[in-house]
Amino acid sequence: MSNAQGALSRDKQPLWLHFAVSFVAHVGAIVFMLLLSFVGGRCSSTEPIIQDSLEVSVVSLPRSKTNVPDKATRAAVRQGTDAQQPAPEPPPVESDLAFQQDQPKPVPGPTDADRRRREAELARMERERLMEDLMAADGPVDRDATDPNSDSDVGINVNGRGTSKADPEYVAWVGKVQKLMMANFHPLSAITSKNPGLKARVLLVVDPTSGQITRRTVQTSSGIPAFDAAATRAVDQVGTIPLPPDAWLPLLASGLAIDFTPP
Amino acid sequence: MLSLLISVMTAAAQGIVIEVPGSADVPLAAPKPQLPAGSPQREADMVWNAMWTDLDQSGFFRMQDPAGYLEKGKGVEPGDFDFQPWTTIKASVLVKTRLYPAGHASCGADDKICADVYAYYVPTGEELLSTRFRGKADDARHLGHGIANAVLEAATGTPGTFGSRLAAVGSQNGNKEIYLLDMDGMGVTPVTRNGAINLSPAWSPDGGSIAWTSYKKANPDLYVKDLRTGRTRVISNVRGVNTSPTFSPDGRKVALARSEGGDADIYEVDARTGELVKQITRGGGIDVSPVYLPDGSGMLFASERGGGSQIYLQRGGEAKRVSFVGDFNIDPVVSPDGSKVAWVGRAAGGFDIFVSDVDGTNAIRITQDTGDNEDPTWSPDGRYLVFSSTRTGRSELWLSTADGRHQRQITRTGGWTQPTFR
Repeated sequence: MSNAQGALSRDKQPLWLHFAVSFVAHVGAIVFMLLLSFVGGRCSSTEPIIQDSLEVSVVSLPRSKTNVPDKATRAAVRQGTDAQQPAPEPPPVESDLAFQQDQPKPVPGPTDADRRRREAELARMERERLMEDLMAADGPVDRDATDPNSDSDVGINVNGRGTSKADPEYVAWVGKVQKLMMANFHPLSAITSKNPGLKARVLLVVDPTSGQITRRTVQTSSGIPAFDAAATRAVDQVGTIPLPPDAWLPLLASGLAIDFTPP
Repeated sequence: MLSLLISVMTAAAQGIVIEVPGSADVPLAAPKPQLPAGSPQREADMVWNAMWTDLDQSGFFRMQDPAGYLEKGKGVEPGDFDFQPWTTIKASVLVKTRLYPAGHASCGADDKICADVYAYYVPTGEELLSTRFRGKADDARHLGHGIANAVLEAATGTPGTFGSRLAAVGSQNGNKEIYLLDMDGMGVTPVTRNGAINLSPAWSPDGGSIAWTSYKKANPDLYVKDLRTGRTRVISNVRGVNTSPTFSPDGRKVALARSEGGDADIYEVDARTGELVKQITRGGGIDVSPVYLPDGSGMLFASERGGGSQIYLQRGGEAKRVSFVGDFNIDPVVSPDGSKVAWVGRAAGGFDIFVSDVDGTNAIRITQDTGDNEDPTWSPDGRYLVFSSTRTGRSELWLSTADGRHQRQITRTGGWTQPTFR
């Protein structure tokens, strides 16, 4: 009963008093928000750096028993930048101090020492990657991530650019490479008809700027020297392949394997 | 450094993998035969041309134009030449020949010519074939066929059947006569010269006889000619039609379509005497074009019993329809191993060749949009079909791989129909 009476009594306040109280309350709130904004603005000056590292979208793939992501993905995570963009500058140690000062100072560019340090770091990362891959290759390898012949359609996603095997550009590129290799791969049916399950895997090192095949080796022999010779001769005669879509260049750098099979 | 290289190459297993099946057309280079000084060029050209045409028609090779060969005049034996010029032009198989004219000291004292033939697999330098061939000087083309068959066997594991004979109907002289000719369209020899209409030739299994239908006595009667003696006899001359003969696998019977006052039915008669052995079909529309399964377990024929003409397979009991493409299918022929049947089907107003399993499943179309294509016949090895086609504006014989992928014209004089392989 008393609460009801109180409510009624407030309802009976004069209208001018109601507006005055409301005005004071709103002004106070606005001033408080401005203060918060001012303080918050000082503190959020480092957000872009943090935000950059969070913008890299990484879909980790089951590529090996050690779940080692590919080179491009790892580089993006470690560098905190977009793998598709030019390599980032070293962490701006001095510029961090500048953010805490009233007058920002010019940010000096990386020195030769910085570059050498960064190159050494990249080389170290590359060595680690190779070792990880080597270890991973010793065990069962899940090729779904990169094998265009597998049923799976997963792929890495670097900066929003997917490497799905259903990508028409990728499919077209695979078709071009297949056509080039097929036109030069002529195993004799006197051999293949007696050995229908033949397969020779030739690994290629491809220059990512020109498409030139700079090295090739038979990783898995078919067991028939003439079949292997036909495969390596096909690679030699092709010499240069078209480059894949940009999103696939990092994987091309990881290696291109051609599985040669009978007609 | 070595471990790093191994690592790099192993890492590729994690990268992109592309599967590449082999190409069916193997690039083949075959320079013209080398000859001892002063030897006649004509025989060498005949041998080489026959071999070249056969290998080109085989469907297994992409023949490389001799004008592009970098090597000139080197030897044929292993070690007498370098493979590099052949690698440069991307040859995979290299066939080198040295021909000796009849009477040459290296060949023997008789009237035979000799050819020493070497075939190599260029990527490895491996010797695929090293054989001396001998043949009559006046039949140099057959020496070329023999070489082609051996090269085909060396490259594919199965010998070729080039040089096989065809019987066919030719109308170049205004009449429809029966002729024999080689698989490459050469060596045309007449079987009939009666000035009448002669149709539907069929070989006996031993290749010694030809059966065919002739109107030389006004009625279409069935004749058999012994090719060795030249003697001809009538084996079916009922009043009406006596046509589309085929020998049984053992050569003792001939199945044919004949009408005795009604629709044509399939009958078997004795191949020697013409006595009736059995009536195979009875009533239910026209039945024609019988063909035995190679093991003698049944027969295929065309019948209108279901309305339009379709192919039926009869094994023991009732005939079972096996053609389901289009509304008109005729002229079935069974592959030598009995697994496939080729026939003529009407599609979009024209006639085309189809091939399926003998039960009608897995049908594929061999010809399309190339005029009328009719009268298929299987090569003895089952690799090829020869048929007549009007695609050039005249009726010519064409040879096709059994999958239709590779087709070549084998006659060029026009007027050729109804080929049948020996």
